[in-house]
Amino acid sequence: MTDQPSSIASEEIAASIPFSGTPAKYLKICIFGSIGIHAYLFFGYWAIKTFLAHEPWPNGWLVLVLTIVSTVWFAWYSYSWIMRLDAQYGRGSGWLQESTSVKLPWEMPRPKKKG
Amino acid sequence: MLESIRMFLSEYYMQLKFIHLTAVMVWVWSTSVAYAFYLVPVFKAWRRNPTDMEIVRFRNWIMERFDEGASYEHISFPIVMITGPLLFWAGGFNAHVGWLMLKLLIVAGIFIPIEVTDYYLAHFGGAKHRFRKAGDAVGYERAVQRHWWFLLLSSPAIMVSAMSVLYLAITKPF
Repeated sequence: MTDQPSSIASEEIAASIPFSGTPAKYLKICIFGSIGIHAYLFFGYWAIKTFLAHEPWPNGWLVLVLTIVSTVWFAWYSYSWIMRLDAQYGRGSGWLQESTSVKLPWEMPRPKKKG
Repeated sequence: MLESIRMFLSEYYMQLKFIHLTAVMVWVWSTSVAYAFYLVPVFKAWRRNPTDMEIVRFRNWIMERFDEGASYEHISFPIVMITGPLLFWAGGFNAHVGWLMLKLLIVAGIFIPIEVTDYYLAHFGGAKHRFRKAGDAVGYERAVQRHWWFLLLSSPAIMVSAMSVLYLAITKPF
């Protein structure tokens, strides 16, 4: 339970197996994923209402337009989410520990006394 | 027989709902702090510095702790999956209830596939500790990266669909 898994870490292996995620892949996945999820929800709900509940499907374009708007929004939202999560955006100030050098008070040059 | 069980359950509908909602809360939120404040910052650091051994070691440690930390989530999910259909049955719901049908579509088409994958990655064939114990360093690295792919792709869908399901269940808008 408290095994330290550091022994498995290897610089050669980490360098030889780069992570395969790229912004182009993320974009493609987000567009097709959003279309797939919305198509599933739209046609699934339509099928339940039509074949199980035997209810008339609402007239007009409202449901279809809402589904299309939601599809576009979710594709954009999930892409920007993934890009942020995968550290593709930002300077990393929230998670990178950059080394800085500071001078301690006794190392600072003292102001010259007047007179 | 079935009708008498349904009558019995409907008498305890609110108690059943209490168990269901408690399990939902554990399922949704139990890993959130570990995910947002421990796992994600370390994985971001790794993505910026993929060959820094100190970060890779820390990433591996965090990943295995997260695998184990997902246990609360993975104990509560079956409770949600059992009490949900019981509530449906005991409450006498049917396909006319629009908000519930949409909620069930999200559960069946999004939550269940994601959770099945998550069980596999955290506890079964994709669990990182299995590769470590087998001394398979290449398999270990691939398993960690596979899990990162899963987290990247599933988290936006989970965030939006979990909030949608909570909204539908609480407000019952149609």
